[in-house]
Amino acid sequence: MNGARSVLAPAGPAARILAELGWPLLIAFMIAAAVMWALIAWVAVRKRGTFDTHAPVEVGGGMAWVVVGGFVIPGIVFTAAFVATIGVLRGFPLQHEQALAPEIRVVGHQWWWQVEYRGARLADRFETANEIHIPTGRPIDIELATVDVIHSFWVPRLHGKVDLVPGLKNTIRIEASEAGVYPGACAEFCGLQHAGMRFQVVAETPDEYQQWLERQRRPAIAMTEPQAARGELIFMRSACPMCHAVLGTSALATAGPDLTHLATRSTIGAAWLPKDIATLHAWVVNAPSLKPGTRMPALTQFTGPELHDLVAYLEALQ
Amino acid sequence: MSCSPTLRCAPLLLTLAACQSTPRLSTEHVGSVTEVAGTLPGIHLVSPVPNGDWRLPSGDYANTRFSPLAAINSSNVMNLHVLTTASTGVPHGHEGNPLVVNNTLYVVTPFPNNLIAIDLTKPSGAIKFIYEPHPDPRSVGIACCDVVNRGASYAGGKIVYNLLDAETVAVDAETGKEVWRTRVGNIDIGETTTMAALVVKDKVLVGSSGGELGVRGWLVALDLDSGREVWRAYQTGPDRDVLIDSRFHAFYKKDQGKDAGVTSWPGEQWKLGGGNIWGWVSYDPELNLIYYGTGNPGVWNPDLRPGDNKWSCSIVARNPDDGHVVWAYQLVPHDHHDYDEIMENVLVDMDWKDRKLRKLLFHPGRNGFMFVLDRQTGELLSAEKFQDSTNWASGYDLETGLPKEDPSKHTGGGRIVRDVCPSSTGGKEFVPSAFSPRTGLLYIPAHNTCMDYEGIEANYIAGTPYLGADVRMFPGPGGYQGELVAWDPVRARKVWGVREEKLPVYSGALATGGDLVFYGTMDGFFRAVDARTGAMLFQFHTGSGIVGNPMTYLGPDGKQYVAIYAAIGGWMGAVAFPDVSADDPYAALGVVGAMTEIKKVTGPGSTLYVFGL
Amino acid sequence: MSKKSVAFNVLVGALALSSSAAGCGSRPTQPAAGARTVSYAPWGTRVVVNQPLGPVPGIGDIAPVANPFGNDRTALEEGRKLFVQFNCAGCHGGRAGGGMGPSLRDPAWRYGSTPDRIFNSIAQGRGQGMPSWGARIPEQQIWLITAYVSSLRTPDEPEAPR
Repeated sequence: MNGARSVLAPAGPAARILAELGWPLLIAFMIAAAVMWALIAWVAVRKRGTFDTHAPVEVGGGMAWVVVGGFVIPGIVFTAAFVATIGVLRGFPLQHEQALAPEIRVVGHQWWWQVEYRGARLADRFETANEIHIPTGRPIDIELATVDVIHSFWVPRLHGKVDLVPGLKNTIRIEASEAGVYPGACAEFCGLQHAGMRFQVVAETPDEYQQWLERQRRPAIAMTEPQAARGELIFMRSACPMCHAVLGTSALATAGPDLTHLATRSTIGAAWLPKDIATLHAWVVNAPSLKPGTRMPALTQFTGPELHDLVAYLEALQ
Repeated sequence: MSCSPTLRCAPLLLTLAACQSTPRLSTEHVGSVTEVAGTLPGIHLVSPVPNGDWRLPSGDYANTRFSPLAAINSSNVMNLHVLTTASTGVPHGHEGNPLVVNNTLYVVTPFPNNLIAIDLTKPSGAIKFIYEPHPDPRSVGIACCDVVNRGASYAGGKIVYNLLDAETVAVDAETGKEVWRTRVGNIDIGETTTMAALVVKDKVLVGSSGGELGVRGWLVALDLDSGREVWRAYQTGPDRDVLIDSRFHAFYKKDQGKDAGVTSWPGEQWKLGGGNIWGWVSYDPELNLIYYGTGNPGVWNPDLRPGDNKWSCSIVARNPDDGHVVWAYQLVPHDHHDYDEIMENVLVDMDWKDRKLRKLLFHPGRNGFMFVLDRQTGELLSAEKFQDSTNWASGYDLETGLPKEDPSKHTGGGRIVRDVCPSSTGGKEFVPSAFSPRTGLLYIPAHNTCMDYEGIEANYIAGTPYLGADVRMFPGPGGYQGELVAWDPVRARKVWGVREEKLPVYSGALATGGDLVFYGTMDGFFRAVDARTGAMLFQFHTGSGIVGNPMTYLGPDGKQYVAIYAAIGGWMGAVAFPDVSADDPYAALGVVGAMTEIKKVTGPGSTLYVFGL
Repeated sequence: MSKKSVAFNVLVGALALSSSAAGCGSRPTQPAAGARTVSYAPWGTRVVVNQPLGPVPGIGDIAPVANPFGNDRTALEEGRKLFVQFNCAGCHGGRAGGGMGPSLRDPAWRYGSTPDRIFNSIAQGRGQGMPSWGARIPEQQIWLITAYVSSLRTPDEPEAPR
């Protein structure tokens, strides 16, 4: 119940409202289930005589059980739950206040999340992928869109599910009360790697958030270390710029995740895999073996020193 | 002469349709005039107009495409006939016009951009020289809209023009020897040069093409004698790249502000920001200002570039000496429809409302509006639709300079917007209009084409198209797709129009002192109409659709001739080529649906026609 | 990865393989063993498929290499996606009807219309502006695009123009 993906361990006001309904419902239904199981057990073990000692007897009554147990008690419980649910829906932040101008835009792709940050000025916009940073203590609106099929944005500890629907722009308002890393996942079946379409929401203090924003706004740093510089050359001359962007270079493609600050993220493959050296090597060379169905192709031509150089470059994209 | 083995190079074929008496060599008619007989009161020409030679792409600096020659006029033009034909050997769109200087006629062909000099003093028009620059054939694959060339300039004894592969050459006009050759752009990132280089004072002005490939547009000035780059101005990016400094003053508030070429784009999208200058440049010698329009803001899907996207779709006035911007006016902020505004800017001094001889600039826009600006300040004086079907905006607010757009015609990602007029090819393409000071009318070759436009994902790969839109075009309402419009710029209304039912009018116009307007149609008819009434006085069916511009000159015998290329091609004309399939409505950037007739009425050609009496 | 997710991946992988064998809405299969392959080092040195462009004099039997994906439905759809993603559609037209580059729908083929020749045209590039994609697009994806191009004007063509 206290896992990173648990809806019953809220870390933000929206999830808290849901959990405030969720816990009582869970307990009430557990009690009801326990009572029913107890009754069933009592009936199952209660001794009766043989057919010889008992003739069928007309026994009246027992309707009380049906009326009380079948209508009255469930009626009360469900009515209470219904009223509580209306209260929850009414209490949702997004419906109360004015919509803020969305600071973040998340676009779903099969099977990764494109994240665009807006700023006060147009020139401050930047892109990243699969990892969303938010400041703690205040609500932040995220606009949701998709380029292909329906996906759903779900961070269990922060909010309910909101769909990304082709042709529509939905908005979700999330707020985290405490700093931490909150895993998220796609919650609407969207194809082969639906289960592998994960993301992370990183909540940090407002100062840390500001620093992160400023860092992400900057183009990629110049590669001074020789191995990373060799890796950059390899990157630019091969298949990578066909799909990936590294701001500040001539690689500006948007078909795949933006890699400008890849090294600041903690996962790859849409938060499916950890971003460590071994996994990076494996991903570059044969992503479909790690995540079958991914649109990142196998690049088996990278071997040995070239592969090490290329991965060194990726690790240097701070 | 040798022919490059990689292209079909037919020897120049010359046929003589009429005998001429021994030509009398004359240099008296060389030159140009500013005073034109019969000019209406309240009109004053800004630049001398060609009166025997034709030395600049538009004939003059003011883009009027007017010649006072009146030997061919409304009383005898019905007797006009073909005197000479010549094949240039390149069956692609010929979008320019020849030059005539010192009794020599100069033709620049589409890629491979040969320069052919024809000696007009010899009775059969013998070739003086052919200069073959052999540009890089890889540039063929990145020219968005056929491998065209829009013409050349003559100055300082040299013919100066652009090659498709982003080089500019200067060729000695007498000998055909290359004087200099300068690389101005990089085809590996999609840059080509198709516009007609313009010589202003001692500088050659060259603008980039490539707005469909994410090319960041530029205008470069080369030294006329050496070809060395003197200044380069970009059309997007920080002020220091655009050459905006403290001397810049935009008339409208929306165009003011520091580094507007950066702040009006998200992130660093201005680096792929378009604003190419592939159309016409005009020059006011008195104010010492050059004027030109800029192209679309790069990627066609507007959702990928929120913001005004300066300085795309703008009219810019620069000082030609060091290139600094004097004023700029963005006609279409945050373009949704690929409305390149590279159209000609016709400069005329005319009485305007209560002001005498106001310094005006006429810009028949691709977006279907006829713009009249004050060319000293960039103030918008009038913007009216010259095609009724135009529906993306209802008009312009003269106070703010902003269009009053219809939000339902805003295109974007993931949805189809239907029936947008005009289409991306415009209410008018780059094909230049002509102005007659004798009638005070602007003759606009106009289109009536509409489109459906769907924004889709765009992926930038250098040197490849960066579009993000599926477009399908079709003829607009009203039962016609082309019209030669005679427009009164002061009263802002059409005086007469000659309509084409099936095809747009895709040739330039020529207005003459004989009160004639010459133009051609995409099915190959070369026409002369009465400049005052529009009555068709002469028509000849040439061998191929006409996408070039008529010009007129005096031969060595002192007689007037009119010349035109008949060679279909260009963006819309490409559908006439065998290698565009009619069953794909999205082919050729969407024009197939508008050009269903063209394969039936014309095919590729490569002929220069010279008409005379 | 934890044991649980390894097992999960194995299951998913097995499902993927089995359902691709059944050909129902899954990823295209890997190229068949024995197909003549091409290797492109990432920075430009290339080993090209040994296929002549011009006619080969004398009697000879050059067995053309078949497209390992055949006309597998999923391969065609993925090939169509790549055709748009890599901007082939920008030059060759929204449904490959031509424009900056020639139409790929018509029967006129300058460099050959068999799958291996289409593959080579994409991988090697051609004069007059067709870029060389061999160092930029992995071989498998070039075969997918080739499959799409081969399907034009056939009933199998995905997203055919109406």
